Amino acid sequence: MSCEEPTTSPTPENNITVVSSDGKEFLLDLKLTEQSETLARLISNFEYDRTDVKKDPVPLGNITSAQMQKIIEWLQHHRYYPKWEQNDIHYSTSFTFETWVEEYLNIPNNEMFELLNAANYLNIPRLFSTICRIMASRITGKSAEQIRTVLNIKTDVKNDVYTGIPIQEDSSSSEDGMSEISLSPSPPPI
Amino acid sequence: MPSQTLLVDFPAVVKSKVLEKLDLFSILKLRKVCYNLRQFIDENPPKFNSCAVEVTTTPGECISINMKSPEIVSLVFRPDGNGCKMEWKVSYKVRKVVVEMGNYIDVFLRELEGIMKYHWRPVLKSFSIQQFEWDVRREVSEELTRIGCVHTDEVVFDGCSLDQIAAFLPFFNSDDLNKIRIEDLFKQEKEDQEDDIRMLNLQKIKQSEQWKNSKHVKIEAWDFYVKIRDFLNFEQVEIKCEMMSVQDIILIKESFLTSSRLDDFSIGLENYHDREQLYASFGFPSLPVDPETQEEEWFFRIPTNEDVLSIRDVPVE
Repeated sequence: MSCEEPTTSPTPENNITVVSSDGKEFLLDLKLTEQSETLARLISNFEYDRTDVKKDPVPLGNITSAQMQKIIEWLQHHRYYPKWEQNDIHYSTSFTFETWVEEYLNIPNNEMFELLNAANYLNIPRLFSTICRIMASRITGKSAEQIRTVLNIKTDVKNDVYTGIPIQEDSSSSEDGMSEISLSPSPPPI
Repeated sequence: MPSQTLLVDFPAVVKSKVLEKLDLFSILKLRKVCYNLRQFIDENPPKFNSCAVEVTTTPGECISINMKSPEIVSLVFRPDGNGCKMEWKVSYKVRKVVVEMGNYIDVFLRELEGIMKYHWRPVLKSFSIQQFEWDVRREVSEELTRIGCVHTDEVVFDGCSLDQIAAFLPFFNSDDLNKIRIEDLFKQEKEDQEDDIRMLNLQKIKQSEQWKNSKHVKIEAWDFYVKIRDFLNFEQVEIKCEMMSVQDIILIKESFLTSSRLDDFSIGLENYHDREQLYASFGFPSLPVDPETQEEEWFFRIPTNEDVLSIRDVPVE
């Protein structure tokens, strides 16, 4: 098995090894694992923060090596950030992001999907919340048609085989035949 | 293996987290994207949605639903022959226009019902009647009658007459109504009263439950004298009027010293009263008069508690 090293090389005393689903090992600085509630709890439970405790590699069966690499990139960047705190429910969601984050999350939809699941599994709240905000920012202010493009949803609309004109196969996409502007959940009165 | 679709194929907990970050308008749009999302939203209505919804009716023109999303998003409904012209505006710019069959009030009510179903509480932030033309009361009455009972935190009467306000006010649910705002009060011409300035007669309005239960009132009636007794039941009052007697200003001070309800009272007068009369009642100001602003301030101890009443007199050029 190969062993990937993050940018700053952890010493044996202050690191743990995690193993991705495809068998790749990653040395992780304990300081970085503080951002993942799943890893932090595991380290605390097994007392891996003690130098006299033997540390077994931690298998992460839900996370591929590519995802892990991406996650480590995030953890490294936020190494010295203050501890994440959940915003108040009345906090107005901000849709502005630092340039690094925008570039980091400028990835195809399928990679975004996998990264979000990995962030959810490892419980990295800052990353999880940022991806949710990015997702929300891509949806907000758009029409249903534009949202379908963003989310790459094509299933509800089919082209007519004879005319090539899009036909509504699932009434939900046109809200029971109502106009694009309409928000109402019920069909219009006849 | 089919590729995963963003949001649609997310686990429920993740989907909910994304929805929590969206405004009401976006959630309603998302319902129209596909069956999967519609079903999820209907079964798991987002909980933390504090988006304010306002309705504005401009008789003779249109009625609109406005949301902050975070830009101002408006749905505007106008009568158009036998149909309804519906506009979707973002930051006051028209994004899309469609014409639907049916009465514009029916279309408006259908959309309002749909929006309020997903709003965090079934109460509007504000319902505003903007009357720019005289004698179009019938349209507003029809709209209000069709709505039945308007649940709103604030009602705004802009350019309405006192008779119109008295006729419209009973349509608003008095349990939800906290604020009444009257702007640019319309002065009805009466043959028996030739004066340009007349006494504001709130007799028809102040008996209503809506007036009695509201906590805040804001009134702009530049052509009127105002009687302060009509406003002593509120917590916060803001009045802009032509004139007020010094006796009324003294009455406000006395009411503050005894009322546990009054909290803030602001009066803007077109014609200023005689300061000497105020000195006779209040004494000289508690603080030295600022020579630049001519601002004067008095302080009075409130006997029943430790609060202090502050009265500021600020002349404006």
